[in-house]
Amino acid sequence: MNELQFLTWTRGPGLDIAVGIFLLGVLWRLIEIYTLGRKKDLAAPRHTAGASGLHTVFRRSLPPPGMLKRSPVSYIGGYIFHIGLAIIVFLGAPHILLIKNLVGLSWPALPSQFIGLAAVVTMAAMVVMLADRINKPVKRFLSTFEDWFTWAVTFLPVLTGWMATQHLLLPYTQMLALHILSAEILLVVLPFSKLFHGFTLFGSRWYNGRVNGHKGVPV
Amino acid sequence: MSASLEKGIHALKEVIDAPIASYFESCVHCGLCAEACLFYTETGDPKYTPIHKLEPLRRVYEQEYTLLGRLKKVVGLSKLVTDAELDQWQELVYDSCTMCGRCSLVCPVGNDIVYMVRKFREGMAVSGHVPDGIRSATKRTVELGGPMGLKWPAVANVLKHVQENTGLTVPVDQEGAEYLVLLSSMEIVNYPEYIEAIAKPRSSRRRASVSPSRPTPTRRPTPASRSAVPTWPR
Repeated sequence: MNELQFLTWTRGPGLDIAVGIFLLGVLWRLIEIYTLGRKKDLAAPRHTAGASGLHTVFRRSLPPPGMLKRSPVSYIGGYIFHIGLAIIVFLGAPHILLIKNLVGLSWPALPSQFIGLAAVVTMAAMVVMLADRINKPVKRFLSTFEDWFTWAVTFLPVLTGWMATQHLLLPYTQMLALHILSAEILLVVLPFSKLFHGFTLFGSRWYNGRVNGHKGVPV
Repeated sequence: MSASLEKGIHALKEVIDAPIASYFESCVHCGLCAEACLFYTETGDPKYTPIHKLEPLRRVYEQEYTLLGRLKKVVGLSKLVTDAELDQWQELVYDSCTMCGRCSLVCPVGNDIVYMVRKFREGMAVSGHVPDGIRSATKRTVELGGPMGLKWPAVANVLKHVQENTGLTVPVDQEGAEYLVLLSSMEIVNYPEYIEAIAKPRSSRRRASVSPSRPTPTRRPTPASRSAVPTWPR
């Protein structure tokens, strides 16, 4: 397989397989988790208004008082790389084209120089987060293979995409093929790893807020 | 697998529900819950990280309720929960948690960690992995009616002293009483002045009945619960 055939595979069958596993995987995991159900809380609710769950879904995105100071790297680094990833994935011109080809929707893109800058900032934040995971006793203690693996799986598409557009190290065709392949690996890994928090966090926050509302301390 | 462990793991399986599954799936090991836990902030020991206190429960969830976890279990790649491990976790899940719930309030993905601790304790209790003090208090509550193992003669003795001190009669088991006083064993033995204080205004109006002649189960301090027909225990 030469580089062109490799690129063709990643853009054709490779993409189909990855997107297929991703979609079925997400669907399966959501069913697996949320069909477990829960017992009815027989305690009479202290607070009947139902918005505590929904409020928590949004409010938990902000650090509670005092927490930013206790763990600044987690919050600031976390914000930067999550927002950076969203900008790159959803506002990069080639990505919008891909989405248009897959589902037919499209929207205006940001200039490629800006996306390049976002990639650099995102990678810097991710490296800082990795260093923090190694340095901080609690994070190091909690970390398993999955934490290092998912970091790499998230980092590689950003790195290869940036290197492809900057024409670094490898010819564009090869680097692009590697970029697409790494993104496909990310799609396959996502539903079956902690990266799935991107889906479950909404449910988790909602349950948490609901319980607090039920106890009479809605947020 | 010992019978008690089997029962315990079964109990853990029983307590796992959609919220717990969602919480475990959402955890990204950011460690922020540790910053909210007084056991961690006071000692600096990472083992007190709240989400770590639930590790055996997480593995039961993974091995019993997820496709990949079950596959791993079938081919022997899973680390199964053992009696020794639950024993070790006793300290973390009972002695090192006040159930204050600060972790549940700071978790950025919204995990209600204290809810999981509460549920984990249910399984730990079934498999017998509870601190001795709690185990024996539970046994006394079931067998004798109260955590301190207090029996009627001891209660009668306290009432006798109360009556001598106040010169009032403390009505016991009085039919048709309007109020029924429910106290914990601790309050009866260590704070008889509670009964004195209640007896004074009540007995003047002759409508109270204090402490039935039965062993006293644990309950929250309810000085005087109104009840047309005294029902005890509720």
